[in-house]
Amino acid sequence: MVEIELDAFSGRPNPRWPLDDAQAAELLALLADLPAAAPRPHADLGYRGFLVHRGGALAPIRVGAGTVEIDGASHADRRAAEAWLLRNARALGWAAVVEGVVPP
Amino acid sequence: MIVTLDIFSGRRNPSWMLSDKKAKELADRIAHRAVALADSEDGGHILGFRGLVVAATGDADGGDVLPSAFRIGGAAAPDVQALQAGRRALTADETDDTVRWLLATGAHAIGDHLAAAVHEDVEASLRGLREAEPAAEAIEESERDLGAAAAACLIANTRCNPAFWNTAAVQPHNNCYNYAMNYRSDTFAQPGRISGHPNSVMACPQVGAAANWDGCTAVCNGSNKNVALVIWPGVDYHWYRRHAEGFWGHKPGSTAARNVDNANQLINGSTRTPANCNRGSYTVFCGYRFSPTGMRVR
Repeated sequence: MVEIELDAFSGRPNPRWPLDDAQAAELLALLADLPAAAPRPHADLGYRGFLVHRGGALAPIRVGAGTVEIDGASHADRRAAEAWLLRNARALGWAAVVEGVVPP
Repeated sequence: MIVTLDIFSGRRNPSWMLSDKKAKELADRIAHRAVALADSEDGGHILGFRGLVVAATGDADGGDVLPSAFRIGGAAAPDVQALQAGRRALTADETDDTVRWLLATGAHAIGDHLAAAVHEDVEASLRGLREAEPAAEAIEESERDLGAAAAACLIANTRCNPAFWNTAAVQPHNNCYNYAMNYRSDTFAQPGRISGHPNSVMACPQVGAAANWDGCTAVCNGSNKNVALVIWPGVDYHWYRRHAEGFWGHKPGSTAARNVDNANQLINGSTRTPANCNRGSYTVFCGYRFSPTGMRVR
């Protein structure tokens, strides 16, 4: 089962949810065979991207800031996997978190 | 100290905490001896028992008595630098005795259903070690002066040691609260959880009160470190810890520990502090607090 972790919190555990089989296949296709890229800059407080948990002993794939990190190697997010994940997160009610909205 | 039984391949290895008394007993057993480092790869290909990994729960420098993370039992060789410094490796008898003693401390974590299989693997490993054993040597005793905490305020900030936190075994499982209170629990610690006063309201009074139940205070009394709390209103909290060098360190969630803010500027403790540094959405500064030396979180 593929699970998505929205990497945004510091103290609380990050939100995490499963994808159905069709969503998982669509996302993994976006993450396949990507060209190499320079590593992303340091991660900040607040929205940092997503972790794609593939299950078993596989290390999660990190998606954010235009890069895709798979097993320690950085790739360019050429097929807009982060945008796909952002749409998915917003549909589940996490829009304010990914946009860093601070309540008045 | 955290002990991990390194035995599984796919599932997570069992881990458990040593009490202060047990940790001191372990230190007395193996202080100033040559042991394998925790990340030693020798024997990493072996299926089954690969040793017991013992790791410190805080990042303070333990001096030259013990490495911050080491391995007892299994096939890994003692640290070459320690041997070259004249330290003796544990004998087979000492290793055997220490492995059995450590396993006994973790009976609750290993569980009855695993105990038989673990026992068989460990016995086979220890038999192999004994067959390769040269002459036995006496155990060198070591005393540790724990000292007594002074009642007066003593700021005991430790030097920044990100290497302790930024490893695959530690970084994902410890958050800003672990880092600020300098206690590796591997539980993504939450204010109030260890003291039975959990909190779900993301505001200064509630998060601060939950941390107070765990031992944090607004008034310094005894040996303490400086910490600071900030809030993303209604969403999350974040902690910073001051280091002996004067700057502030922090660890955003499961990411690496660092001493810079969201603008990648050093939080130097003078012109840039937790109160005025770039904190992104964590816009509310709750204030500075004190965390007692040795404070635990979960």
